[in-house]
Amino acid sequence: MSQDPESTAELLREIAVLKSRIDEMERQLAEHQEAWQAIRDNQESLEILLNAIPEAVLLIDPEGMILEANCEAARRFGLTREQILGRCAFDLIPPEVAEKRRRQARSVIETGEPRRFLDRRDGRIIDNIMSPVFGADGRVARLAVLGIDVTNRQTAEEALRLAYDELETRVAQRTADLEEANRKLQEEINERKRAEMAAADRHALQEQLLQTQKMEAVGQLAAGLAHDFNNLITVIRGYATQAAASLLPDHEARRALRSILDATQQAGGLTRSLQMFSRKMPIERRPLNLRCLVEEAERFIRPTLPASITLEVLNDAASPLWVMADASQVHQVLLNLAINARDAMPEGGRLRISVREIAHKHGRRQGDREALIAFSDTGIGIAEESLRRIFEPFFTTKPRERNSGLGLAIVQSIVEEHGGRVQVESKLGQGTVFTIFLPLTEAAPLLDEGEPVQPMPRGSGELILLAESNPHLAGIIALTLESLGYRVILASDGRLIAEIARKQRGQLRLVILEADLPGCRGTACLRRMQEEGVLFPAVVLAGQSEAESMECPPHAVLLTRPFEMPQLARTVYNMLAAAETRKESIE
Amino acid sequence: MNKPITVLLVDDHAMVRGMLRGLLENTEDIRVVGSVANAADGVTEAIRHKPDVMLMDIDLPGLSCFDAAQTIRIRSPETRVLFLSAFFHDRYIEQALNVQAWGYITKSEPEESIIKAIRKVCSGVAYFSPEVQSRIVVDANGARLATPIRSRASTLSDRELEVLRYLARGMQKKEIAQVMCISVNTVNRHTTSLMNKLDIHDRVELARFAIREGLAEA
Repeated sequence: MSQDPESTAELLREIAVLKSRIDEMERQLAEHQEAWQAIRDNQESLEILLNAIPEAVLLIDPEGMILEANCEAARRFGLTREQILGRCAFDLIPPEVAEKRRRQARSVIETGEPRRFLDRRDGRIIDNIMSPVFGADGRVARLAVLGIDVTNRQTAEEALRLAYDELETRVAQRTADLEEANRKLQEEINERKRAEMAAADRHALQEQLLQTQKMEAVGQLAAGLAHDFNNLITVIRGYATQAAASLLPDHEARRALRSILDATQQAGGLTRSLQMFSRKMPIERRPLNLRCLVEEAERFIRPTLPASITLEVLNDAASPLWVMADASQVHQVLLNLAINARDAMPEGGRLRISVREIAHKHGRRQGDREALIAFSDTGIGIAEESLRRIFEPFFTTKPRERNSGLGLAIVQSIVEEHGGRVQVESKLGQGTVFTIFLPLTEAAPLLDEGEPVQPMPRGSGELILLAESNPHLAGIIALTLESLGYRVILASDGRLIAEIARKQRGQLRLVILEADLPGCRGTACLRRMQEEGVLFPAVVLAGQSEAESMECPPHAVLLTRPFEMPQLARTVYNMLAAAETRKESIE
Repeated sequence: MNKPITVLLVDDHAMVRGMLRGLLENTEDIRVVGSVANAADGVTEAIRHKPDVMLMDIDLPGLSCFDAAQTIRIRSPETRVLFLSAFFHDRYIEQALNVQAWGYITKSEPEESIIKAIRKVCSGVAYFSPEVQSRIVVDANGARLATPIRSRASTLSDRELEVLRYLARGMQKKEIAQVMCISVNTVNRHTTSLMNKLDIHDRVELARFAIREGLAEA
């Protein structure tokens, strides 16, 4: 068999090309094998790497098919890796969660943004991050899911949160405790302050009590002294009077006796001061408007002050201040303080009297009010050591001949008797302020106490026949009538009235008679007098029941018991005046 | 010549009695029929002598002057009691009117006033100061003061006031019983009652209260 060389050559060339191609293919195969090996090695490395990750890693396609997963991911599904590969991931989770995850996967695909969600399963908490894996076309081709078991972290965080909460609670509790402790401490401080103030008040009250007791003791001593002293003065004055009466008018001893009598007069004044200080005159308290009292006092204070002293009275009369007080004693207090201020300003100055209402410092109820009267002068002031003794009886900084030392003691005595108190503040060279506090009364005044009492109208020697069966009452009525300037004839039997009237026809001006006179009833007496032609104006004194059933003659008026003497005095005066008018008109 | 006015003097101060006796005996129309130091003796002498006027001090040891005046009003109605006191005192005046005394004068008044008062009282005209007159009210029971004294003491009955007055003087209950002619049990009952009314449960405090109220002298 023979072959063409060319063919052979061609064949050889072809063999060489083939060989070359085989070599190339072998080389490529070797390269592929090498590359495959490398890929295998890579895959193996990746698998190792993936499986080395302690968290679940999944690669799913847009439909949820698991393309790749590590062992941890399979383990969490309770399956092997081989068992889950190619399965739909959403089928491996509870249906109620699967739908939610599908929506989340679609959201990642649509937005290209990763999503994060928590899965709680079998007591574990998985923090999942679903991230998009883009294809060559730039679209989301797959989804990578990394599931990190955060159970421990969550537990730790929960524990931390609980610890934090606990801490918060404890801090809050501690804060509350501290606040409570602080409050208690503050209360304690306040209580202590109150206690200290109370102690100070108690101390002040105790001092006040001691002072009061001391003053009361001195007062009682003064009362006893005043009583005995008065008796002695009575004796001295009595004997001096008798001695003077036994001497001839020009006897030289008369002058000495006159001096003794003058001295007893002065001593009498001192006993009256002692008496007032020792409260021997019980006070007659009634609801009075303090502002009116001060207004009245202003009238008698002003004349006691020299022109060099200006008197200012700050007294708003629009709002009355009702106090239970004895007017004369309050006047005494105001006058004493005014005199005290006057003596403190020998070179002149200003005395300011102010009256106002303030909250009661020691009131029993909240809102208790009291009245305040302040006497403020611009005088020489009182030294500290004198200030402490200022209310002591017989203590005075003035010359003894000018002052008994009882003025301020009387002020304190009267004010305390009225349930009030006196305070004094003074600065040497600047002046002194005496402040009087008086409790306000809630009792509505029955009368307008500011209205002055009208004096009883007086007569001018008119003769009055008084027929009253009770001699004591007759005596008292007669006393009043005589004091008012009338003359009185007494009769106790009704039968004598007409006869006396007849005898005294020329002088008699009025008859006062009891309705129920023994011998003849009052109205019967009047009728008899009328019958006998002796007609006088008459006042019939009757009880309420008698008055109701009595027919009073035209020239008589009824005065019903009880009546006060001023009422009787006015009735008598009016009857006489009316009679006089009638007489004048007849004439 | 008219019959002189007979006067009985009752005052525990011997010098005052002596002075008054001297003063009155120098007055022609007045004759002093007795001079005693306490109210009990005053009652005895008043019943014995039936004087026209009894000039009696308010503050006397033993029997109260007001009790004595009450007794005299019954036992010697013709005797008119004229009270003489160191001071004016509403409570005294009120009590004086209660026992129908004919007057009340103070020792500080001039001696002529005492003589004038005795004469007035004897003539049937009472003798009280104008200040007192303007406050007298005449009612069915006689004369009284217009403004009743408003104090805790006003809650006491007359008998309780009497007991208080004696207690304040430091008298023992037995003595009080003798003076008031009542039993010690009655005194005890009055004492308990008045202490409850006054809310004072201590004799010293009672005495202080009585002095303050003008029921007793210091």
